[in-house]
Amino acid sequence: MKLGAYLLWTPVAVAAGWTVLLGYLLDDAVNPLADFRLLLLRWAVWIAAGAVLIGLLNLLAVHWSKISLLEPGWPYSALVLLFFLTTLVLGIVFGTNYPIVSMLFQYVQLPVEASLMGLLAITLVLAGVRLMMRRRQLTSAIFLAVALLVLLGTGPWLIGNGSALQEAVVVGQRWITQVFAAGGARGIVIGIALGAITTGLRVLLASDRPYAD
Amino acid sequence: MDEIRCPMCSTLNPSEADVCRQCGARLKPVLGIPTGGKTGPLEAGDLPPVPDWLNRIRSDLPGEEGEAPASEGPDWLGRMREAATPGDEGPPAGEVPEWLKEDAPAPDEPAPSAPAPRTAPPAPAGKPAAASSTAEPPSPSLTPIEPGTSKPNETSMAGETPEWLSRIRDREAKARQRPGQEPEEDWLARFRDEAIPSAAQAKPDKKEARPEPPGVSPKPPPKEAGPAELRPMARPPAPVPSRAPEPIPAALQPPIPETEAPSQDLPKVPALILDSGGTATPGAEDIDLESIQLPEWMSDLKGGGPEEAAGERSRRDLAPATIPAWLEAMRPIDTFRSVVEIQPEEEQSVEAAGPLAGLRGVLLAEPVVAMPRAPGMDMGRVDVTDRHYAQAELLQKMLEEEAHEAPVAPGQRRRLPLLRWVVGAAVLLAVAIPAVLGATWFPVPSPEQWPPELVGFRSVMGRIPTDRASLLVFDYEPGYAGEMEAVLGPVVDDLMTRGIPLATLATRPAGRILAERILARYSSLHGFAAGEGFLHLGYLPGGATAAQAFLAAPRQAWESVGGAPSEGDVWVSPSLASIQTASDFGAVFLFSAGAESARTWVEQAGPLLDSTPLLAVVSAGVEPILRPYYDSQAPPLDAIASGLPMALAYEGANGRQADALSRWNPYGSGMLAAEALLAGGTLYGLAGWLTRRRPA
Repeated sequence: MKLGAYLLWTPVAVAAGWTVLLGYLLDDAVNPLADFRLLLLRWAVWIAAGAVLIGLLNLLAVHWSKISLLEPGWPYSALVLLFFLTTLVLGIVFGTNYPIVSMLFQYVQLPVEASLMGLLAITLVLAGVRLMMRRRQLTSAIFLAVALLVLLGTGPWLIGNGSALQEAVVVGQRWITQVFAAGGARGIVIGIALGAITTGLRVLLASDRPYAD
Repeated sequence: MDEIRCPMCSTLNPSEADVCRQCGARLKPVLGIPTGGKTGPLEAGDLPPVPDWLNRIRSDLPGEEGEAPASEGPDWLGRMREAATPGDEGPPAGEVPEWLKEDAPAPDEPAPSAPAPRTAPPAPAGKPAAASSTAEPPSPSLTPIEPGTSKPNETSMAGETPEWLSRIRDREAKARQRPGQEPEEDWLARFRDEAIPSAAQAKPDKKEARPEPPGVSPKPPPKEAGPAELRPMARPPAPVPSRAPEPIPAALQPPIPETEAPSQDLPKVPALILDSGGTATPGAEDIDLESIQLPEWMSDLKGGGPEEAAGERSRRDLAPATIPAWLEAMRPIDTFRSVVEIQPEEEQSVEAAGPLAGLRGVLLAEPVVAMPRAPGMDMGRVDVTDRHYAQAELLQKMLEEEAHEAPVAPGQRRRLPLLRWVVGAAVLLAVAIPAVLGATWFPVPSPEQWPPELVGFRSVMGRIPTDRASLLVFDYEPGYAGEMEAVLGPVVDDLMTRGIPLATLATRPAGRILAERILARYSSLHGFAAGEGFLHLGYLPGGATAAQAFLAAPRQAWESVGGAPSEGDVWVSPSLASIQTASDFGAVFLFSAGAESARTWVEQAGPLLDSTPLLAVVSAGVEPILRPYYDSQAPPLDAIASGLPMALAYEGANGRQADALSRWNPYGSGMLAAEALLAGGTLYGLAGWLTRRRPA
């Protein structure tokens, strides 16, 4: 990064950060920078919208390059481009309420993505089955025991529904999810907060300049 | 002090030595200086006088004998200074010797232009510096060279010693007889004996050498000044000027005897060259070989004599020399042994070409350089260790393996991933069969078994005002639609049942379509019309920043991205007309399947919503992340709902069974299959571990 650009962009970034932060902490009625903060946020929204368009154009360019060079798998790229352009034109011209657009979404996009999630469920079950066959360790046994307990406590029972055993399993499942899982989640949240504070301070103090490169 | 340095090896030798005791080189020149036909070592008095400038240079040279700083001069220098008192230098004022009077030019005659050369010519090579600086007589430049006089020896005639010179000599003699004083060095005594009279007779300086005008007495020399030839020795050493040597004027040249040097040629000695018969070449007969004094080392080279015969006998008796063991080990054995056998001289070949053509016995380079040499017997002898043998065997095996053609390994039969297929088929069948058959194998949970969060959720739903729109944030991908729609469906149904106007906002590109999909399904049940009962605000890009911007000023944020063109100006709708900030909404519902985005919305919206409730409907995977926000004392999250059991309970509470119930049996069946597979795999693994451990 050149010296001149560094001297220009660093004050701009630091000033924008402090403005948004103070606008968030202070009341808008007594904050003279409230309007300026909202302006900066709207600019951020615009930039994000531009980033989405850039991502779409990049996707188009990558697949177009594969087609033009006839690289392996180029027919798939051709299909992607075909449906991409079709959906884009239909959505822009007719809107998202157009029946064809809704049909493409309901019968193509949604089932495909839902199938991927279903495959994930099968893969997780398969991994659990193989776990004790390949890694005969205490941690593996504990992992499988906890998974079985949570599944039994979450799902319905075929028989013995409402029995004392089911009650005990449900209590155990709740104890695990409310204590261990929630405790782990709190730790994750606290860690994220500390990391966000540290990163924010570094950026606000110009110690970290992600916009430099 | 009485030592002279060998010009060849720089060894100090006594002054009377003729040859060097170290290398045998001659220390005193035999020939080349006319000394009246005398041969042999030169005596100090035989040497020609050295000019004054040469004396000064020699005295100034560092390391020369006689050099000493003026401040701390040695005894010899002090004595010389004593001898050079002002009263002793030169004749007394007004007293000019007769010889000087005779040779002095007339007052009207111009002074001879014979400037003394300041730069000394190079000293003759090989001449001992110490000897020349001490034993040589004063320079001829100091001798009174009178115009028209070519024999300066006439100036030192006996019997003409002046009185002042006699006083000097008498004082010197007395000084020598002082008790406790070390005897003077021979060379210094000789030097003084010869230099002082000459200096006394000669003028101490060129300036003084000029004849004074008549009537002017000679100016006495300065007090500190000694004789002219001794002044440079008393001065501190001065750098030798590096000027080119100037020729000595003819008047200052040493006299050359007419008998030996009729011409300007330097004296020389004819070379002694013996012909093949052993006789001297012409011109060498008149050289008296016996009179030539050869150094000892040359005398030793002379053959013959009984001593040589005795030496031959002793050499035969000598034991052969032995080489130390360490040197023997380093000696290359046979490798560099020369194959050239030295032959008798008569049998040696005559060189035919080159600068040595015609010579016999010349070492031939061809056999050594060009011709191949036979290897020694031990050339191939190598110390081989076991490690070398092992490495050699390994290398041999590798080479043999390379030589053989590797057999083509039979292709491994592709095994059917049976376990994968079994697991996949079991789960699919467990989910599909109840869904296809419409089976109700699993009982619906009774209200006592409903999740405890349901009560709180419905309690918050009951506080939502109906005069303002509630915001529904769709923040999940289509892949999660199966789970999310089952959970949020009863919530939307309940909202429409309560007649709460809705406004949807998508934070994912596909969120808008997902929102339309849900609202279209339940709006027909409740008679909600698009634009009146519910509005779509569209897609809001920007993640956390967009959430912050929208919660702070929904209308400006929406307008900044263009809003939803198909919906027109949604903010003129009665349900949204009063909305200026996020807290103006009746409630904010977060439908999220992403932990990061759900956390962002909860953190961003919590402080800005004031009393507006925030309710989260999330997937089962996100629920543990949002649980801490919900369980806190001042929760930013007022209610949370997740999972199919919660949805089924909510439908039960709404009194309308919908998607949750239809998915309850496939869900239960799939869960049961997964539990069975996990348990079976765990037992199989434990059994295999036990069976393999038992034989061991």
